[in-house]
Amino acid sequence: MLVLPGVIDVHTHYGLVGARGVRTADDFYQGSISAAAGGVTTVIDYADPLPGESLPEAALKRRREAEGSIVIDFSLHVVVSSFGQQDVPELAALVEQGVTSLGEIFTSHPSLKIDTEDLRLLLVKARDAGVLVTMHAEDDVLIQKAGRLLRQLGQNDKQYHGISRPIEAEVTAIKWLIEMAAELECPLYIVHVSSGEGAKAIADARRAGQLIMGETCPHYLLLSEGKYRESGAGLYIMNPPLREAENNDALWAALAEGTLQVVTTDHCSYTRQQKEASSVCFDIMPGVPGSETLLPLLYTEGVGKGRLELPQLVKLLSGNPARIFGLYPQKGIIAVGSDADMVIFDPAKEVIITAPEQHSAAGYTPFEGWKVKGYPRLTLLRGQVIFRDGQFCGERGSGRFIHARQGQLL
Amino acid sequence: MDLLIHGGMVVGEDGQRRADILVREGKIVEIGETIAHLGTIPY
Repeated sequence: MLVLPGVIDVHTHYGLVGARGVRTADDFYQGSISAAAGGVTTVIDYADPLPGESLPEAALKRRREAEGSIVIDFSLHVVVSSFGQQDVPELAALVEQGVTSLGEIFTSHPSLKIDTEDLRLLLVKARDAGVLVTMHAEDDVLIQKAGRLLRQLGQNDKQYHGISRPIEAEVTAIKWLIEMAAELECPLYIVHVSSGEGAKAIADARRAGQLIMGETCPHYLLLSEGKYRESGAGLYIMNPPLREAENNDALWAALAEGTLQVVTTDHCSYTRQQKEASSVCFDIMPGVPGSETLLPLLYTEGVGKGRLELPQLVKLLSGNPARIFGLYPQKGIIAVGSDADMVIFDPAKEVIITAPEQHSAAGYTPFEGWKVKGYPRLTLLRGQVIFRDGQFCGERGSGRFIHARQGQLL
Repeated sequence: MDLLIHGGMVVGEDGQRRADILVREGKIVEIGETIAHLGTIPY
């Protein structure tokens, strides 16, 4: 048996209310049970301020929503969609509360897109406060342009999702952000990088000495754009979209080389019914469930196929997430003095991933039928066994808020 | 309550080694080749 540090999924959306008020199926309780089943012992979810609500108020409210329900430990990012001089003191208040990251901040979302001047101020003030800004990088102009063209042509079915949000939009946004970060001398973290070109832009910036970090997700490593032409295509709608298969290899290489430091899931669990409520790619609720399959897939497809060494896997799933988001060494490492968050992992156990065996309320998995070799036997949170051989044995509300400190810039 | 995770291959960023892990009050308090202890977590 392998004893691994508990996995840290730094990008989850439990109980997210999306367009038209549609809420994701996994709340903090069900989502965290699913995560624990896959060896995840800490998540970082999002607090999204309502109009008129301050960043600290939103963080505290979200923390209260999770406490008493979540079964693993957690921290928070706070979403920012506008930022002015009057908001600057809120950053210090957030740090005091143990929240040291902002995002995901959109360059594309219709209602969450931040004004450029606001973003420039935020980058500088966040840097000064020791708060990391995390960005969803898709260029809004290019997405709107592609969308208009597809609508004019009547091409709005699921198969056009990839075309509606092209790689060019991601790369343009990443390069624009990198340029801004260079000018302002600020660090940045790019969420869910989906393309080899996007990763290359980050690699180039890092070689030039910039502190640009990034993550990718199993679906960008293992799935490709052809899914949008298959039956059940709507289940694979997420933003950014799946790309051509050549990007899979480029992203694996970016992980192995250290260009991207984290693998996360962007766990966003709309149900099959919610996903299939429309056949129009612009209207389908975006996002897929993923925390539960993160470790088995990365072990099987990464370590098992020689793309990653086992210590690299530990770094990508535990050590680096903890360092970057200020949880290290309480989390992310098996060491004296650290929390006893561990996964007893059977590298020989073979499992076929199927929706009925998953614990997410989504009712489907984008990796249906995938065969993995290597699966968690036990998940321990602070020394307590919370999952054993597929059975939850923890307690509702046993997860704790972890007070994040200033993270490390890797 | 103390817990012992006995004889697993402990994996870190610098490699892996066979070790016992002693846990007390939710924290790791000792990692060693052989830790003498009464109770272990069966797995």
